[in-house]
Amino acid sequence: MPSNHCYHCELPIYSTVKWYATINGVARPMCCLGCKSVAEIIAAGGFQTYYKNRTQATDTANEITDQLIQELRLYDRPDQQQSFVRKITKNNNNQLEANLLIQGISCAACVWLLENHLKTIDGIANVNISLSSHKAQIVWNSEVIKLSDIMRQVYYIGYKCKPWDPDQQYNIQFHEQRNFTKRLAVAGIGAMQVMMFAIAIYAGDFSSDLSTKYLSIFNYINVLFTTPVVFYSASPFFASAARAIKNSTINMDVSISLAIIFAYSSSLWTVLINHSPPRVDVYFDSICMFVFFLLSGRFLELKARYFMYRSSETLTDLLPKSCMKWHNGKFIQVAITDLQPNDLIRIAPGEIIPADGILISATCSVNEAIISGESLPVTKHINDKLLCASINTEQTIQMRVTKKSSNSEIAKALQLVNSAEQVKPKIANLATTIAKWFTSAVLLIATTVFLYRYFYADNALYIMLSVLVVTCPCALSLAIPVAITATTGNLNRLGLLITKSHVVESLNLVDTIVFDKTGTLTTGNLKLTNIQPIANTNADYCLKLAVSLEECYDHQIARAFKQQLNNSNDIFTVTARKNFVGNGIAGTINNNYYRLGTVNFASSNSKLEHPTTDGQWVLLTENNIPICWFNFADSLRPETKNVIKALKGINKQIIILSGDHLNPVTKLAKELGINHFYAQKNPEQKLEIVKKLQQNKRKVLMVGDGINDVPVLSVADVSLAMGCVANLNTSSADAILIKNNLVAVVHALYLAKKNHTITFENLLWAGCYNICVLPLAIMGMIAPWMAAIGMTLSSLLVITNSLRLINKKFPNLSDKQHGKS
Amino acid sequence: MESLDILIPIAMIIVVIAITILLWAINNGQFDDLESPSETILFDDTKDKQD
Repeated sequence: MPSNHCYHCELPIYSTVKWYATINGVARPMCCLGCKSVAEIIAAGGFQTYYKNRTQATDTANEITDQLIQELRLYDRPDQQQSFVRKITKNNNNQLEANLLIQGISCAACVWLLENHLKTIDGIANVNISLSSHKAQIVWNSEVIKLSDIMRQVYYIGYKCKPWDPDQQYNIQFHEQRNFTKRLAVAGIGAMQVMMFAIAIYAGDFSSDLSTKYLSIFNYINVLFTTPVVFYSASPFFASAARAIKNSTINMDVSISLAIIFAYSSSLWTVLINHSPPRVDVYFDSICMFVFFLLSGRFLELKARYFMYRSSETLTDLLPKSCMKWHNGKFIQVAITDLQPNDLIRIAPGEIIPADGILISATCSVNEAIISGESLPVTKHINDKLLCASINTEQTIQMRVTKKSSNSEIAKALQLVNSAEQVKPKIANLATTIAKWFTSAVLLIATTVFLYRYFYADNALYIMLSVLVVTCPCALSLAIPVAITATTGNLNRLGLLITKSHVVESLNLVDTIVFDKTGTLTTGNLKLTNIQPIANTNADYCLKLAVSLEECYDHQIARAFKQQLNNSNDIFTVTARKNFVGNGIAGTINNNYYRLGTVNFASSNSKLEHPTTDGQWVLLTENNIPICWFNFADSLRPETKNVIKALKGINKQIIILSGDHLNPVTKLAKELGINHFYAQKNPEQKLEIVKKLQQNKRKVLMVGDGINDVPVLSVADVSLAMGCVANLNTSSADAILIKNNLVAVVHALYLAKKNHTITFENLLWAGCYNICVLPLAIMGMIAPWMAAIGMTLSSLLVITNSLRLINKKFPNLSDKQHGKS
Repeated sequence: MESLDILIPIAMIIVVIAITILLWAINNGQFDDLESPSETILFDDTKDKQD
């Protein structure tokens, strides 16, 4: 383990420390120039306490490039500012207010740092940053400073920002939350008021010296304050109950609504019509408290949902902000939101394609890994379709836009994720069923109790109400969905996007994990594994020649070659270098003509055979004579070994299921210590193998990386796709690892187990509570207000218990894990 | 008990005012972020300015 950690981003520094920043007089190690400059700016501003107060480390800082500055300049244009900037007309003439989304905020110290740093800048009048939504409201004087300069300041201290661009779902949730807060406020204040007068009535009842005049005044006042609580605050319960009855079902809201309506109307009748009230029949205080506590429970649930939604937002950040568009005879930089179908745009090598379109320049190669999972670049010819979010790998290309990014294939795939979140899990539906039967039973019991009490005893209404209130199976129905919501939110932040909500529960049942090899256990990136000189040539010399040829390119093979390069001065000068896309490179070194690439390209002798069938072979020829073979193969993901070890530690059977040749699969299985592996299987055979496992009563988790795994992913009990969004189109995968890190698999299993425990605790508590309290209510030993407090507290307990899952930490993988848990 | 005839209306008016203020504050976004203000207020006290 490295002894040095970056003081700013807290990541380990593996090589010797090259950068230091002085903070509070101590030179602290820094991992990169980006972190160093950020730390120095923080120290220079006197904000060192940030490091002391923060509870989470920040992201590694990025260096600020000219391109970034250019992109930020775009936001100075009034047409760009339209959507997120408004003029403050009230006092000052040139004050503007912008809403920005700040990325990289992890705790309250970040908010403090950002606010205080920005406030020290001339021209900025006010800054207000919300920790929960990461939204910054900045007021500035447009004569003193430009918006792009303000945004640059955000980048200077290590954060990123972009215009606040809420989508429709965000707006709905935002208003839902505000409305809910209002309902809660009205119910809370209403409950306090009504309780105040109710206590006066109770006290008067106790000392029996309250005059009838004041008794009826107090009652009238309570009617006044309870009415908005019932009709405004409690309206969500009525709406939900009405929906349920319309669909001819009963849910817990039906029971809640009935309790409220019965209590309210009977109390109202007592006060308004039956003028000599028997005191116990007035329930205004219970109604208000009941509504207030129920709303607090729902509010927490709403917050968890809201939080979950926010944590899955980062996917949209994939796309670039701007691109070069052909306009009036030259290319100008425009925001990608401005792109329209038929626009002509230019994309430099290494850039992300910002929209769907058609290639109109010469043959090129693009990396569509994010869409298809295929890790090798794909060659595209003129008039071929280019997909939004794929990466242009080799040369500058031109394309004609066919669909804007918001309508592109990838955007459609992303929308599926959102709709998938709405699907209710099977087992949660079970809870609703339990609640339904329970409610029917309670209604039946309540009616029986009422009839019995009415004819043979007293206090009929009173007892029936308390039965209704006390047994409302609220906690029971909350027990499962809230826990799942919290777990899903937690997993989303880890980069595991759940698209079908049965996943969390099913994961806990999994006992067999099937991995695909290429792109799943391995990175899918090539690595130079073997050099075979032909005849008497020197291997090192051949490598040097090859590296020199590839030196200025940036495709997979070039990168693999350049990894071998220790000293950048140690290469030959190449003249007349030419790149043949998809084939190879030709060039002249020391008056010898070299070709490096596929066999057919490098050599005119088409009968030449690859030395073996493993991996990918590249041939180097000198003046058309073959001199050396290079072999490239996939490399293991850095985390794979630990992940497999951890999975074995929790007694899961691991199987490799690959379409690759037997040799590399055997080698990999041996390296990882996996006994069960299958090689050279086509998609149908893979399907059969998994089906057979399932016939043997195994619950299978399949982890695959795309196209060829689609059928097998759809049959597995739970399926995980590696960072390939397009799989959503076929909806075969249940979850997606957007961060492409296998560690999330272990974490997901761990969290699923915790989720199971917590759900069980919840159900146990809710069930016991209801069963214990029902007889007491029937016997009339529980007053309506006691019932209201009791059941609401039990709901709150269930919700708080579930919310523990949101921030659940995981055992560290690098520590040796022998755990059963 | 005559004082109650004045105090009750006053109490009711105060409640109406309180609800109005609260609703105004919610609409104004004061309740949108319930996490950071409670923590950020502590930081300024410990800030050690050097320049």
